Amino acid sequence: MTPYYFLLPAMLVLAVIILYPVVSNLIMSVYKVKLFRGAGDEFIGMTNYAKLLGSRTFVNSIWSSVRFTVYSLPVAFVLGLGMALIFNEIKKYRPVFTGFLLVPWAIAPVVTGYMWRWLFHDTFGLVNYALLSLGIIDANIPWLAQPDTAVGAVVVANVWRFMPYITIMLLAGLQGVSTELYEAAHVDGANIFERFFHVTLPQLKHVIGVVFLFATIWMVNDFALIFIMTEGGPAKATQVVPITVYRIAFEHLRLGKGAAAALILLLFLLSMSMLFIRVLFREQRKKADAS
Amino acid sequence: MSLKKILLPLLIILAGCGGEDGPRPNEPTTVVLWEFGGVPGLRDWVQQAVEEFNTSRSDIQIELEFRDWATQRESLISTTIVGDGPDVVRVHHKYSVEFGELGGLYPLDNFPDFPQVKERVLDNVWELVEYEGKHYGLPVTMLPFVLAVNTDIMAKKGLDTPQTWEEMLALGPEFAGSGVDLFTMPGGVNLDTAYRFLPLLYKAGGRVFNEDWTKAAFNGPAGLAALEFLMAMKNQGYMPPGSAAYAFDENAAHWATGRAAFSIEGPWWQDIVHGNYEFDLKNLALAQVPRPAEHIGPHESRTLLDVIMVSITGYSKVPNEAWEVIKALDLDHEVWRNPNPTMGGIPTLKAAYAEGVQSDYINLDQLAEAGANGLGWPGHPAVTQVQRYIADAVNMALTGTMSPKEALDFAAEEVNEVLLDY
Amino acid sequence: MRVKTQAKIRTWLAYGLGGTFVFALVLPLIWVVTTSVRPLSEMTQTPPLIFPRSITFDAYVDLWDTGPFAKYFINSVVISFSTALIALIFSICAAYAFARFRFKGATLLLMVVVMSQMLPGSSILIPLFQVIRAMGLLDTHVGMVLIYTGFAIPFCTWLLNGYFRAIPVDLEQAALIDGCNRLELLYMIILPLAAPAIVAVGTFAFLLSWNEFLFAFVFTKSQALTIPVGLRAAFLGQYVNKYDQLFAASLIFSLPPIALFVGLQRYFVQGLTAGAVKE
Repeated sequence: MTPYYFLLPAMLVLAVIILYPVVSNLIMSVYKVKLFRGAGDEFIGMTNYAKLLGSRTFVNSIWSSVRFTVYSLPVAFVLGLGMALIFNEIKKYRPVFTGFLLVPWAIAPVVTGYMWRWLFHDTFGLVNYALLSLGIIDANIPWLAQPDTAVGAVVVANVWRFMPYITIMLLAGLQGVSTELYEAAHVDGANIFERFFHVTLPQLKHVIGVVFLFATIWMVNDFALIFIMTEGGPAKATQVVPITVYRIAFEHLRLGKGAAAALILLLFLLSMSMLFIRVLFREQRKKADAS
Repeated sequence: MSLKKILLPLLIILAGCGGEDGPRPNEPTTVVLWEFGGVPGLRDWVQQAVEEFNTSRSDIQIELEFRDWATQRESLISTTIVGDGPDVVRVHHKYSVEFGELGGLYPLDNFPDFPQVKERVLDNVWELVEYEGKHYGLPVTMLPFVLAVNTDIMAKKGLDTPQTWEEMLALGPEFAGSGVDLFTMPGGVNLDTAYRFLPLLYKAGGRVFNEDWTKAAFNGPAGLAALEFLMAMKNQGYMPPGSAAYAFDENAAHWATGRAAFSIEGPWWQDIVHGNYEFDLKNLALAQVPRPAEHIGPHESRTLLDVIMVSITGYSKVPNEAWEVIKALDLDHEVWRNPNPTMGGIPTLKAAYAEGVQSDYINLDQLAEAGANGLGWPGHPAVTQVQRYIADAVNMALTGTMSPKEALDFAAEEVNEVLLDY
Repeated sequence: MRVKTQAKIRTWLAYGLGGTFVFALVLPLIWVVTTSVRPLSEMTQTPPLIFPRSITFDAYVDLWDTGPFAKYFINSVVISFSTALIALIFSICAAYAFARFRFKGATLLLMVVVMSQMLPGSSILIPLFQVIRAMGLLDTHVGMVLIYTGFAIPFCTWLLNGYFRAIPVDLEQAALIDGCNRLELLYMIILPLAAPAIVAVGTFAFLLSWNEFLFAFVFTKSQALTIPVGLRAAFLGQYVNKYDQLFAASLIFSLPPIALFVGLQRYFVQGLTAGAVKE
């Protein structure tokens, strides 16, 4: 009797907020949903999907999402790894360092978006001013007005925001590496680089896998940061899939088509997660079997 | 037995409650007024005017509620479905078509004194609130689009305000390399971009839709010429490089800090540049939006006009009292006889432009001229979507991603598809 | 000797590099702070002035009157606190059920619950809009709390489940024998022991709701508008572009998350890395 009572409130909320919408999304995607004009929804089978996959806008937005993630993640990872290694050496007052480090991640994406939008402003922004003063460029770059540089700008903002998370995770992972392994390597005559590549990294594989998985999911899903910075422009260069879903459903009022787009995104993320998890768990199972 | 004892009194009570239809004798009628959006100046005035009205009259009392501008359409939809809501609303004129058709708004032509009222308002503005021969709102403020000029910059360079696109382009070389742009506009992915394209389209004689609103027409020769005009300025460096990312505020910052000579704006400009950027209003002048030297057509040259109207809801139970309220507040009130820069638009009353009328507006005559020749966006239910597609097209062209023709044709395709649903 | 100095150099290098990098990371924010305390006209100077020429706190005072910002602030506070509270209660109960009971489909259900964290917001955005609309909860506090609670429950339940399982059963078994019922067990034994996890989870739910943008943007129009959406509406509206107030408001808005994150970072890290670092 009792477990069900305990479970009920939470499961009820989840059923309404998560379960029903996911199922409903699937159903909606094969209809032409009429928002207001009275008459019922029209069943149109796979038309929404066909239209989407044939639509230049949607296909481009998939590329935008991929580009955004593929550019951001490695940079954030390398920086995060570097920071984690450095922080690992900091024994005293580490919480102070990590405290400051966490700030970019604590701040709401909206605020981050406005901040970077103003920093990248072509006339009044600090980025241009800094680059000009350092002599790296000789004229103001209209960052957010050109497709290529706009992508760069949102990537910078994204890296700035995600790096703390990666650092924290990798740092925790580093702490879990037993010092015996390092000593053994030292005894074997390994130098710093060899130690890093042959001891540290392999030990971190699991954490790295989790970090990559979650970071990818979060980056692909992201709406607020890019929307505030560029609203998907210029020329839809930064219009990632979540923004496209929003525009289709709430600006062009095609709920069925929007649902289909959202479902495509979901399927992509699900399959990617499945892949990741399988790889990760295979590692774990191998370890479990070995020990 | 006991059931009857309960039911009978219940029925009597219900019968008593069931009559909200019509004022009881000696009790004032309540008219519910919803004010959507509005600049602070307008809101303050409405508050005050309603209080004055309520104090001075015993037969009608106004119940005032302020609502967000963005909630207009949703409010009209939900109250129309339910058949219950406010009696009077102040909304954008485009809803006259969509909700006039659905019975959500009350045709003012039903009132016997409507012809006299109609006479007092500028003639051309009535077409913006009309649907199938009936008028669904009283146009109260209008926002015509004009050319904002920084006279200081122009004087320093010894140049005159251009009247045609060709003249404007010819001014370009004077600005090249001087650190000041000839022209600036919001060119980002937002509705303001579409609102800068349309004045040029209208001036050239183009329109958004074809005659029966079944196809897009903004990609015709006039539209193409308008976009190519903008591109000519962009490509030759007469516009700020960042304009393709500008929203309204970035554009205002650019112009108001003396970095550009021209921008396409309206009655709000004076308040914005002075209030937010301390721009010296001595250096502000307004002129008509330039047109192509050779008219393109196929229609006549008009200016873009946005109109705010006050309407009676179709389900209102007190339309006559609502009409009294509208006439008292928005027709007869003295504030409308003096164009006031803090009200968010210029009046639509003919009396406001009569000889000897004082106003704090700079170049009110230019605004009035534009207003008298003004034409609004078509009042189609899907007009907001159309605006977005047009804004996308302009943005695509400004970033050099598509040629003007490609961009406009692509947008027209999308719009045609939307129009199929209606 | 050599090893000792080598270690010393490493440490000093670490502090130096770490400090510099962290400073560079936080630099943009410092600029936001300076922008919020200078008059608007200074913002549009070229070249941009790094140090404010005149300091004024007008923005911090005036922003409360600009648009209904005070209302947005109250909305954010009310909605976030309510979400944290309700999500906590529901998750604690659910996690307890998963941790202490064996029932059919428990593992599957738990896995589904955990997986739902990874759901893209956009895939439930549209149908959820229809649901909330049908329930008449569009633009209401109740609606937003319901939505955010739904978002928070998966992670909260998962984390608490892990913590609860780590608590030895003996204490509860003893209490059961003494005649306590399950609720009393929860309240008197589990909660005090799992306090750190509960703090972390409650904070998580609060912050999720506090910072959220997309759903607030779509589901609210004026009554239940929260700050993330309000920043846009109040300071960058059609006729208003007050950047100094925007940034001042942004800073005020960022104080709770920063304080919570930095103050409770230990718990956060524990919660995040649980299950990730464990072998």
